[in-house]
Order: sequence, then C-alpha cells, then structure tokens
Amino acid sequence: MLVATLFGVTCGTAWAAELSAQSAFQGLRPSVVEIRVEVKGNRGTSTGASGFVALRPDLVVTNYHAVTDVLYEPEQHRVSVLTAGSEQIGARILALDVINDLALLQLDKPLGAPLLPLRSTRPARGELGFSMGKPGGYEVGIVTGNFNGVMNDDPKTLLVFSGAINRGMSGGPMLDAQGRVVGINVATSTRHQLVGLAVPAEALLKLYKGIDGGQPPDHQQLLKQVVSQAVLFGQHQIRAMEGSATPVRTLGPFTVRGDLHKDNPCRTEHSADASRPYVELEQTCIAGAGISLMPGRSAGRIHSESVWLSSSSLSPWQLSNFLERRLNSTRELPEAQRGTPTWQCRQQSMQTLEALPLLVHACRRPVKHLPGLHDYRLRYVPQVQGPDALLVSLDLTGMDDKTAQAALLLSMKTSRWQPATKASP
Amino acid sequence: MTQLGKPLFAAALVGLYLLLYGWLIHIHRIDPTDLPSFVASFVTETALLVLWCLAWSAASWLHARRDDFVLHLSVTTLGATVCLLVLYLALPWVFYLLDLPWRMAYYELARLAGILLFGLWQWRIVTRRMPPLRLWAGISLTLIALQCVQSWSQLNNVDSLAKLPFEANIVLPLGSPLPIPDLNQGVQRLWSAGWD
Repeated sequence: MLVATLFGVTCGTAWAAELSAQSAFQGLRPSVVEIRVEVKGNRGTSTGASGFVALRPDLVVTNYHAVTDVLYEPEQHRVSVLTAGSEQIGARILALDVINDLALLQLDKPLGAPLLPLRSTRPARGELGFSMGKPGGYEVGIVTGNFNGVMNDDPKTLLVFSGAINRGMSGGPMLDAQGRVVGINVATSTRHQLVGLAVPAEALLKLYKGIDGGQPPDHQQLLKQVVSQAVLFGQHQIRAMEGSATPVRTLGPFTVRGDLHKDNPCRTEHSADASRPYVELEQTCIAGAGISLMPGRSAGRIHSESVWLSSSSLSPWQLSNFLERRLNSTRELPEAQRGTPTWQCRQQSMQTLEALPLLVHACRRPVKHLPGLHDYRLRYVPQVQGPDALLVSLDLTGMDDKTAQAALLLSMKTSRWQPATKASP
Repeated sequence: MTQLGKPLFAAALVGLYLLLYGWLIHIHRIDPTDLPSFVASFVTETALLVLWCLAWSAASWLHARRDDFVLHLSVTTLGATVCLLVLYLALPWVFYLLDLPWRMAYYELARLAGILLFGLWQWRIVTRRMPPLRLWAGISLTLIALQCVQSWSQLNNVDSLAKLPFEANIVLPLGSPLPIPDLNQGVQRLWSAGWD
C-alpha cells in the first residue's frame, strides 16, 4: 500500500487526464523549489539548483551534485530552499545516492504544497512529458518534450528526454503528461541538441526506503555514506572488468589485459616514425565512466594504457630509458587541483605464475574529505631482455585499497611473454 | 708527481670524464631528436666545471700568487667522474636492487655532499691548510638543509602536485633480485610495507 501510495497509483482523477504545459505548470509549481547553497556570512550563493517536494511534506528531492559544497565544506556553506511563495526554508541533507546523483533534504518545517506523486513505470518512447526547474537566473519554468527510451550508464540507467534541460534545472522533476514524477533532471548532452537525462523515479524510492527512521545522519555519517557507495561502485567496476568480452589482448610477444568493460573496447594507436629506431603500439582501455564525487574529483574510474616498444637496434639501456621516459610522460594528472595531497609511492618486484618477473611502481594519494578513498597510479614493466619492452599503466580514482589491489591483480595476471613471436607493431 | 706528470694526469682525467659522459649520452639517447638536448646538457655541465676550476685558480692566485690550475682541473674532473660513476650508475643500481625508487631529491643531496667534499679538498689546495672545521661543518649543514627544504618545497609545490614524485629507475633487468614468486603475495607486500 505504501509503495502504491508513493507511486501515485491511488491518485485522484485530477491526474488521470493529460495536462497541457500551462495547466501542469499552474498545478505543479507550488511543489517545485529552488535549492540554494549559500556561503555563510552573507557572501552569496555558491550553487543554484532545483528540487521538488515528494514522499513527505518535509522532504525535498534534488541532485547530489547540487549539495556537494555543503557536504564537503559544512562550516562555510548552508543549504536552504526557496518556495514558490518566496519563502526561504532551511534544510539539511538526509540521504545521498552518489551513484545515481540524488539527494534527499529534510526541511526545517514542512512545505505546505502538494506532494508530487511518483510513477512506477518507465515512460514509453515518444510519450509526452515535462521537465520543471529554474534555469540559471530565470524564473522556475516548464519544458515540454518527449521521452525517448533510456541510456545505460552502467550500473545506472538514465531516462532520455528530448527537451531542453538547462543549468540550474538539475534536481527538478521530470513528469509525464498526467503530472506524475518519472525522473529527476540530472544532465544534458553537451554534444547533441535537446537531449536531457533524468534519474528514474525508482532510484528515488529506493533511496527513500533506505532512510533510517531515527536521527538524521550527522556530517561524518554522510561522508561515510559517500565512501561506502564509492567503494561499492569500485567493486562494481572490478566485476565489469571480470565480465568483459575480451579480457586479454596481444601486443607483439606480450599478452596484456584487454577490455575493462564489455561496452568499451580498447583503442590502439600505432606509431612508426622512419627517423626513429623503434616502433611502438599503444593500447588504451577505459572501464566505463566513474562517478562524480565533487567538482573535478571522481571515483571508480579505471584507465589503463599498455605501450609495446619494439626495436632491433636499441640497446637494453636504451629500451630501459625509453620506458622510464614513457613512465614520466604519463605522470601528468588531469585532475590535479589545489590542496590535493601529495603522492606516496612504493616499488616491488614480483612474478606471475608463468615466472614472468614484473617490476611494479605504485603511487597513491588520499581523496580529500573522504578517508579510506585514494587515487592510484600503478605501473608495471615485465623485466625481460630482447628487442621488445612493455609498460602497463593503470590509473584509478577514488577507490579503496582492496579494490585497487584487485584491479592491479586482474591486470597483471593476464601478463604473458612469448619471445619466440616474431611480429612487429 | 713530476711537472710533466701533472698535466698528463689531468688530461687523462679529463679524457676519462669526457669518455664516460659521452658513453652515458650514447646509452641514453633514443631519438635522433634527442641529440641537441644532450649536447646542450654536455656543454652546460662542462662549462660549469671549467668555471669552477677557474674560480679556484683565481682564489689560489689571489691567496698565494699560484694558479694551481692543473691541480684544480684534476680534482674537479675527478669529482665529476666520481659523480657520474656513483650517482648516475652505482647508486641507482643499488636502489634498484633494493626495490626502492631513486628519487631526484636523493641525487641532488648526494651531489651536494660530493661538491662540499671536493670543495673542502680544493680549499686545502688553495690555503695549504684545512678550514676551521666548525665553519665548514656549519656551511655544509646549512647548504644541506637548504637543499632539503628546496626538495621538500618542490615536492609540495602546488604546480608539481600534478606529477608523481618518483623518478623511475627501470634499469637493466640483469642481475636483479629474485622477485616475489607470487602476484598475490607481491601485491600484499607492496601495500603492507607502508607508503612514504
């Protein structure tokens, strides 16, 4: 009964008829709010987003990314909602879903507006729908569009909405023609026109069901929620690695880890310059997208590069030097930012079951605010002699030690070397 | 050593140094396009050594109206050769055998210690006596402390945070220590040894 009520199955007939955009806006506007994250000390707003009241009169739904400032810098930020009647009500974070980019806010006092009902089924392709929210400096508005299936962004699924979702509308409701919430605005495609994305309503219901009925979580408990969800996502990425269709690939005499995800085959780039006494082949593999923890910081991203160098004229010293250079050339980090802790490194020799010796460099740095999560830069080189050399790099973001070890082992266990092979890149 | 022997000895040392430096350039050069940068490095290093010799010779001349150029050249070239053999070849190899990264900061600290020792020797050539030990120790410790502070600040420089701190030392696999015979054990050892 609870589920049926939450999903609006028992809603009155007022919702049964298809609404025009105008009547939908008039009926639903009181339930849609603006989310404001302000810098304490009357210093202005740091984030503006949208939200809506659903499930409980004191609960507002929005995106996780809309409240990261207040989550990671609670001493400097506070979150509140601005109602349709221009009343500002204080709020606190009650629950987070980092993977689906959802947040539930508990208001200091209940909002006197109708709860938006949730719909239990996914909208059909071509079905008419609306999206509401506050785009940038404009007033809260409504956008008409059509639903066009889903986008699988493993492990989550996003609804595809052919309508304009602009910055600031994040967290607002996506509704069907009867005014029932089918999703929560989350993103828009920057490469295509009028392709908006929304988190399905069932993810919201799952998050709501997981709320502990007791005291709202304190700041440290919320951070622990984020860490545990990032760890779960990392473990999911490892399972995706294990389930890839092409787990091994061949680079000359070397066998290396292949695709990291069934939907992301590795890319290969061949480089042969006649003026150089060597040729190289570089294979890049990515394990899906990571999840965003905060601006510029992600979790669960796995990026692997394998470089095979082949030369009949370079000496072993020169081959070693080449590998060192490649190692150093890949040291630049795209996500470097101020205040990031420094790297800590280790080195160790070990060998595979086939007695192939590997020299492993491992560096890690903690993720700020989230104890237990680290970024990793892992490198290994088979210690072999001859005209061929290999460097494998594995970059992981926002993972725990156990998951990073599993990723490294999965990568190294596929390493083979067959010097008899006479292939060239 | 005879008057003829000294220049011959100095010339042999200079020759050894140039040979060694050239060999290092040869074994490290991969691309034809690398050559200009190595030549530039060669010229810079050699110019610095010549300036160092000339400075000490000037000091000898001012102090005792002797230039001692050949002597200073011998000592300086000996220092540079030892630096190449120890800091470019031996120490990285030892660190490799110990499974430890050979970092740029270690190299710079070791090079500074070498410069201080050979500087002490050349002070002795100029003045024919040792400098006050406390003064020399004070200057040495100050310079070493400054070097450490500089390395630390480089490591913690906001701009350098984008880079990993280690200098890789993937050198010849010949004679490397026996690796841990199991990947699981190896990864456990990698993590359990602590992070620095």
